[in-house]
Amino acid sequence: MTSVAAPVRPAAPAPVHARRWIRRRRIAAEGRVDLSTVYVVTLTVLMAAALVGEPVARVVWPSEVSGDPAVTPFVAAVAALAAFFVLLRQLGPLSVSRSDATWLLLAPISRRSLLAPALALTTVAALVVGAGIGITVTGRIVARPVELLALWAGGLTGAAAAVFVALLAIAGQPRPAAARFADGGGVAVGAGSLVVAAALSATGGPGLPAVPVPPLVVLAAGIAALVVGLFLVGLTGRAVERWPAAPIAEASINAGAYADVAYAVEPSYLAEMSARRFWRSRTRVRTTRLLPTRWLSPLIAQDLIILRRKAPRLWWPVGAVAVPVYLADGPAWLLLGVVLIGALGAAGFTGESTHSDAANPAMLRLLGLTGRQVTAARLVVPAVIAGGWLAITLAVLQGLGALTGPWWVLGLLAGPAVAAGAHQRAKASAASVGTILIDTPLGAFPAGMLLWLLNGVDVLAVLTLPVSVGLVMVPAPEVLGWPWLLAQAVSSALGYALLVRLSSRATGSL
Amino acid sequence: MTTVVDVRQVTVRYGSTLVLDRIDLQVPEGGAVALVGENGAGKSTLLRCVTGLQEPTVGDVSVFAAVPGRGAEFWRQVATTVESPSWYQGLTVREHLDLVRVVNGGDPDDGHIAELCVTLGLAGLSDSLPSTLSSGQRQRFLLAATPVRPSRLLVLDEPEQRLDTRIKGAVAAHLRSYVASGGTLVMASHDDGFRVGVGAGEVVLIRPEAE
Repeated sequence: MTSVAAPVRPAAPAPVHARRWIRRRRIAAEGRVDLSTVYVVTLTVLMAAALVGEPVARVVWPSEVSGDPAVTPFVAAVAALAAFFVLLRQLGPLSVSRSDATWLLLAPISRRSLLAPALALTTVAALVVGAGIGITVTGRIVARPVELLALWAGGLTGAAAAVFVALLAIAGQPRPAAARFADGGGVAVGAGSLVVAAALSATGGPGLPAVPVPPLVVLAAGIAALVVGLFLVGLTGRAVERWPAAPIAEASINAGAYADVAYAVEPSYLAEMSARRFWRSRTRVRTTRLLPTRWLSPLIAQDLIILRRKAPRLWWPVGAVAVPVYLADGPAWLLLGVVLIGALGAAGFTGESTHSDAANPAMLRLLGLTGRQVTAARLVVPAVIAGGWLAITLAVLQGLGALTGPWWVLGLLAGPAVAAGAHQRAKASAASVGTILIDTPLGAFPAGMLLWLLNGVDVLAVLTLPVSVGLVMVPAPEVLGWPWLLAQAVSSALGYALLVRLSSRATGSL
Repeated sequence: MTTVVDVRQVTVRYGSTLVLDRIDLQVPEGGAVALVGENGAGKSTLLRCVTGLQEPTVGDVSVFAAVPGRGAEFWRQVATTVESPSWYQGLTVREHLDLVRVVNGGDPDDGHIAELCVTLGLAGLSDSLPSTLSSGQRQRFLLAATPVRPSRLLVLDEPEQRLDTRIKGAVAAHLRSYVASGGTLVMASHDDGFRVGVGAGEVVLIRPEAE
């Protein structure tokens, strides 16, 4: 018998080589970085800087510290770190590009080096975000002129804290059950801190201890924490070798979808994807008996069921009530914007059904309902939520002395107007806004994301004019008179009626 | 007997592709018709024309003596599986069925939904969210949601698809009793046994290019 040599087992290729090879192929086929992408990103950054650069700079580094340093900036920093945690969890945080997820994730190559760029990026992002938070806190508690040492102490301590937050987010990635609790905790801590910080800033809050810790001690503690954090990042880099493929693949799909959204190919997909992830994580849903109830319109009952099931997400609108409190003494336009956008966000809480019907009206045909019937019913719950949110927010501002008169009633009355804006927003599909390009001197700029963000805000701005004008024209001690309430009631009623009237009389469209 | 579906000389083209070529079809009230033919013969396209979801290039379609697909009155009488709904993400399977029945004026507790769920093997999935169902379960869910509401005309696109033998038999029996009680049925099917089980007459469509 002839002996047959065993086949040679090929050595596993190093992923860095595999990726380098793929990159070389891609560059050969498509050329290097697309100049138009660089242009779009640069233009976006410049526009953002021009629009919000100055107010942000003022928030990060006020020209002087007013009054005694308080604990409020620390509580606000906790809220910012919680938001960073939630954002990292949404993104993965360790993911690879979609093509790498398809071709390299399941190939026999080291997972550690495959994920090394993502780990490095997450760490750098944590360092930058943390340093920013640390410097902001320093700028709000240290008297001017600030020593360089204090600045370093703040920046490094903040960076160390953010690195630990990033480590927590990474640790959750291969443990979905534990991570779900951590996500809930992150949202609760973030929203809770916002409320506490608002309460503290409203009441003055307790001051910092009379004997402050010397900056040198803070700096030493910060450096020590940062060294430990970076060491743990190194250990995490080793641990990812044993990670299963599923959490990386899922994160890569999400990160890829976010990239699509950023390119304005399908902006409304962002909300859809977030909703899909949320509902997939609900494992203990039980059928309710609310729909067969005769005294409630079935579509209103549906919105109430969704509201009840999305209770874990109610933390954000509740926390957002606190945001206008920070701005009570700030410029009126900023307060106005935050109040109205917060109300719009609260009203959009049950908007998924409307978005789904607008994208695919097959369900409406199955239900045999006209667009008008659907619109009339689907505005009710958002109107109540938005009215409630506005009433509480304006009442809090009233409690702080920024407003006087029946402002909470005005908030309640504005509910339907905000609901109309939220309904318009939920109806928008990618097809209506996604492919619009704005011509600029150096080429076309995809305006999908911008338009998607502004969609519905136009309706909101017109219908809530009495609230807007009132906030600008009637600051305390002037008392809000009843004509303002009447004007808002008329505007809300008109908006509601017009939206229903303009909806389709046919079945199968809104 | 009243003609419910009246298709006259309907031609449909997608670009340069001829999908339906001068098709005639009349279905009387209480009648059951199955469109059969190879893939690409235009079965689904004809069903879409009957539901008004597709405008014929040439020819006339009328359903209940009116242009199909217009207005709420049409959709109160016609139920279809020609298009697949994107289900509401936060509602369970049972809540969807309750919603469809309540909105159409039915009583969700009269046992009709429970019976359909048992027939279609959905009884254990009442608390499931639609996004967690498999493709076969989704097909059964759609088949349950369609007859949950009262209708006079059912337009079904290959209802036997992805069903196991037991459920296929139960669905056929259900459709047979729908027709026996005066409903009209137009469906596309690839399964002769299923068609015979429903008691539907055969209308053969031939790909225009193959003529």
